[in-house]
Parts: sequence; structure tokens; C-alpha cells
Amino acid sequence: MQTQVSVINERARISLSGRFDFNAHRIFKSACEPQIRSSDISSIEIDLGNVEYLDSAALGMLLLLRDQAQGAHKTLILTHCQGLVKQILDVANFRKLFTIQ
Amino acid sequence: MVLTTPPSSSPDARLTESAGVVVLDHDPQARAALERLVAAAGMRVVASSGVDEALALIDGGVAAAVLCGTGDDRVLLGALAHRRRRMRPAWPWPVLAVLPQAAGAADVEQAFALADDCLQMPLSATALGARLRPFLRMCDYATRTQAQRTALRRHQDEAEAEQRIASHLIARLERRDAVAERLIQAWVSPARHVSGDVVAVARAPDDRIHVLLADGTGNGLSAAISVLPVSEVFHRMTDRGFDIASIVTEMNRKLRSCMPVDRFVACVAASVDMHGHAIELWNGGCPPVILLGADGRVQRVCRSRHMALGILDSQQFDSSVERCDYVERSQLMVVSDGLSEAPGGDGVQRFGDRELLEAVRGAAVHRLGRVVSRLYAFTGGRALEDDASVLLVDCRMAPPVDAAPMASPPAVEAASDWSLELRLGPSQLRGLALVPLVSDLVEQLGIPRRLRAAVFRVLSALLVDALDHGVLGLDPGMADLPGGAERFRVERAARLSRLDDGWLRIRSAIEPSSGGALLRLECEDSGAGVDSEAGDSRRVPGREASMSRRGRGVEQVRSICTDLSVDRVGRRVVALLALSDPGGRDGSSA
Repeated sequence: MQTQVSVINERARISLSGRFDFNAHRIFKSACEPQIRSSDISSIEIDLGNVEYLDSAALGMLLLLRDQAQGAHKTLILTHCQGLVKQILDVANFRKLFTIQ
Repeated sequence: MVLTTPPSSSPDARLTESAGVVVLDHDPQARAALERLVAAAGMRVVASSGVDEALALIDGGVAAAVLCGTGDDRVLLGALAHRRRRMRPAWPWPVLAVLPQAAGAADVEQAFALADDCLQMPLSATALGARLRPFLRMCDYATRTQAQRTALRRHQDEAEAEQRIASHLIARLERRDAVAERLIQAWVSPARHVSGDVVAVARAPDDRIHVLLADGTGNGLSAAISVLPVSEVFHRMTDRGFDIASIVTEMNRKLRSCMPVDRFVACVAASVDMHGHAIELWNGGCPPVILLGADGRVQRVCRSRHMALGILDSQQFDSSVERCDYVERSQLMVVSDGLSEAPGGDGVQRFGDRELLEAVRGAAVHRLGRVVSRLYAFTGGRALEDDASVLLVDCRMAPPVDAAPMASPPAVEAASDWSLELRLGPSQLRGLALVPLVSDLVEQLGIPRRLRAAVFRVLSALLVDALDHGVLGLDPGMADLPGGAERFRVERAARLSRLDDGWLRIRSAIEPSSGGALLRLECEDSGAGVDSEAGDSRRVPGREASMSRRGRGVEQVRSICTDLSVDRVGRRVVALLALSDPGGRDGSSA
């Protein structure tokens, strides 16, 4: 998986592409941690538009990020969920916990 | 022992830092000269008194090569070569022969037969270094590879040991029930040695069959550890007669309290009531559960309505179950996402519902085999990325009966010298789980095992009915209205939580009768009852007044009682069960 981080105003957009699974743990963490720590960021967007697949380990990473974002008083949204990614998030009922656009 | 370690920062020097060179020569002066040359070439010199010590140093990893001066004879070199052959070294450490200046072509040829390379005096440090370094580099590489191989083997041994422990634990937690297992067919395919998918089946005291498919986050050992508490709760609470809602609530509480935030367990837990031909099901994060008809056509799809276990706290957690009736020869199919999301041979398409439904179409026989074959055909035989599992449950019209031959008639006489009276007030009714209470009573009273299911069903029906419709005053007709089941559940919880008045009394004893001993179960409550003289607004046409206050549960167990009577105002129900008739009148209990 690859990540691309852009910051507009106080919002950090982390765009993911490829397979979001257990092997992406380190790269996902290294992309997210600076945004959680930064006092200039108030909102984090995870752009899943180019993600081909995500497994349960990836869902776990999103839960962990949500926990960290809450602790840092930042909002977290998931965007551009489509196809298989949307199906997987629907089965997991992640809409009950996340803002999904 | 180490003579010199010349400081250097060149890559070659770093490479050879760990690889010392042993120098051997019969002549001490010649040996000292060679040692000086090795040191001058920037390599570590390891002193040795002879062949044995040289080999020990090599074997111990202190040195990586031997420089052997031959002098006038090749005895030392020959001994070294012989011993090296017998040693069968783990890595190819080299022997370099140093021949005197006067050595001829024949000497060189003979030396080459015993050594890996030959050098001839006079020799400069630069030339010696240039000849030794490739060998040392090779040795260094071989040593590192060997170390990595050893570390890998150790890691593999540790992983296998951990997997053995996990498999042992899982097997110990997985209690076997031969009767329940006859009703299921299951296939579990681990992506690694240990599966993070667990499939389980258990029989509740009232013959309901509980099934579980739990899928821990990820796969392998960490996923298997996540599902251990789930499996343990499933068996323990099913044994005590808890319903699916209570079981998943406890599973969630336990996981939430002991697992990290990013660990959860997708789960389907279902209860198949073969007396009432109904299924209760909870699906949190798993692919749709499908109820199949006899011909494999879809009768009902139960999609995931909840989040997986271990994510939400107890306040947020929703234990509400989906209910559906089934007809003869139906089969419930549960799969994990490792199956539905298995990639095809092209790596893009997913197995999904379409392939699955094609595979299950047709007769139930070999249905599981058809699913697995179709999966392998779809994936092109490639190893699955995730743990995958399929569970098929036969939904029969009557519960299975223990195949084991009946033991001699139970010692009812020995167990008949007792009577029991129990009165529960508001605080007990608010905090006490009635179903496990019944389960414990049935077990403790010495009721023969083959009768326990019937006794459990009757006693729990009487207690639940007395609490819901007597003490709490809930309308039995409410649950039958559209959306009524959920309203009933919410209203029941609300009334129970604010209950500060009322009671419930249980009496039980053995009664002798001409047809054999009878178990008397009596349940009385403090509810308002009905005025049978004035009639009751909730009265159901065709039912006696006292029964119109009772829920469906009491009616459903009437058939397995020798007698069941309700007093005139509907506050006291007495059930009689024949202890000598294992099946009751419908012969359906195990």
C-alpha cells in the first residue's frame, strides 16, 4: 500500500492506494501519527478511493486511529469508499462508528 | 589469544572484523613471520598451538580461515585437510597453504590437493590480503547466512510451540457433543498453521442447538487468541441455558475488557429451536447468513446488523437478535469473510454471494463439498489469504435423540425425598438471571439427565411467563404485532429495571402416582391475574380465561406435561411431568 499526505487548512488528507491489509501496518502508522501529534491539524480524512481491498487487520487499524483521534480531540472521516471497500465497511457496520462520505 | 586488531573503517576491514585468521607452522619463527604478515594485511590474528586448537577455534567461530606454512614437508597441511574432511563443517572455511620460496610445480600441485589456495614466499602483506579477503568475505557471508538460518529455525520452533499450545487450548475449550455435531457440517481452512476462525456447536438444556462462527482480526495465532474467550463463553453459557442475546453480550463484554482496541471478533451466533422450528440469530460483522430450503434456494438472508464483538462498550452494544421460522429440510449456512472475499485466479474477482449461491443450489447432500470444490476452482487452487470457513446446520423438525443406550431406570426413588420452595422478591427478579437459575436447579435436584431437557423447558417457560406477564404485566399479544418483538424487549427491560414490588414463588416436589412418580412444578406470581367472571379484554377467543394472561411459552410446553393447569385467575400454574416417561407425551425430549 502507498500513502500520500496533504494538508489543507487544518485538515490532513491521507490518501491510501493498493491493498490495505496487515502488511500496511507500519506505513499507515507512519502516515497517521504525525497528524495525530500535530497541533495544527483538527481533522483527519482517510481517502480510501484507490484502495483495492481491506482486511480485518485494516479495520482494526482504523479503529485504533479513531481511538487516537478521539484522544487528541480531532475528527476522523473516511471518504471515497466504493466497490468492495464499501461492501466490507457495510458488513462491519462501521457507519455506526465512523463518519463515512 | 587475539594478537592484533588493526583499526580500520574500510568496508573490507569491517567485513573481516569478526573473521580471525589462524596461523599454523611447525617452525615458530616462520609462524611469527606469517602472523606479522596477516596483521599487516589488516586482519585479526588468532594464535594457535596446533591443528586441534586451530579446529576448535574455527568450530567456535573465533577464526574463519587457516593459513598453514608448509616448510619442508606437508605433514601439518595433510593433517589439517584430513581433519577438515572428517569435521564436515557447517560452512566452508578455507585453508591456504604457504609454500617456501624453493617449492616447485609438483609441490604446488600437491598443496592444491590439500588446500583451497596456495601462496608462495616471499609474500607481501598486500598480496596476502588480496588472496585472503575473498575467502574471508565468503566466510563472513556464510556465517551470517548460517546465523540467519539458525535464527529462522529458532523462530520457527518457537512459532510451532506456540501454535501447539494454541491448538491444545482451542481443543480443550471445544467441548464435543456428539448429538449436536450430527446436525452440522463444517469446513475450516486456516491461512496459516492455526486458524483464527472457530466453528462450534453445543446443545442447550432445553435441546436448542447453538452454533457459532467466530472470526478473529487477521489470521494465525493472534487471531486464534482473540477467539478463545468467545469460544469459552459460548460453551459455558449454552450449557447453562442462556439465550443468544445474553451469550453475545457476555462475549462482547469479555473481549472488550481484555483485547486491544484494534482486535475484534466478527461473529455469528445462532440458536435453532427444533421444538418451535424457529431460529434466533445474531450477526456482527460476518457475511450474510443464509437459510436454505431443501432445494438449496434462498429462504431468508440475515445480513450483518451489528458491529463485531469487542468494539462497543456494554452501553452501546446491541444484542438484539433476528428471528425466523423454518420449514422441513431447511439448512442454515454461515460463512466467514475469508470465503466470500477469496480472490479468484485473476486476483481481482471475489468469490462472493453469486458463486456461493450457485454452489449450494440443489440437494443438501454433498452441499459442503460443492462449496469447497467451487471455491478451489474459483481461486485456481491458490492458497487462501485469510482463514475461511463454512458451517451448515440441519434445521430439523424435532431435536435429535441421544443414540447412547439408556442406562438402567434412573434412581427416582433415591431422588424423591425432597421438596423445594423458593420465593423471589423484586431485587432478586431485577438482578437474577432466571434461565441459569433453572438450569442449576434442574442439575442440582438430581433429575435424570434424559429428563432434564423437558424439565428445563417447562420450568423456564413457567418462570419467564410468570415474570413477564404476571409480575411485569406485559401483554402477551404485544410480541405478535408488527415490530412487537422489539417493543416487547424494550418495555420488558424498562419495567424490570424499575420493579420495586412483586414476587414470584416456585414450588417443586416428587409426587407418587399409580403410573409412576411425577415431578410437580408450580409457579405462582404476584401479578394482577384476570377476572374470569368479568372476562378480560385480552382474552383470546377459544382459550379459557385464566390462560389468556399466559404467553405462548406455557402453551408450547403443555404437550410435554402429563398435566398442566392454571388457576382461575391465572396467577398459579402447576405442571406435572412423568419421571418414568422419558419423552413426555410427545416423546420429543432427549
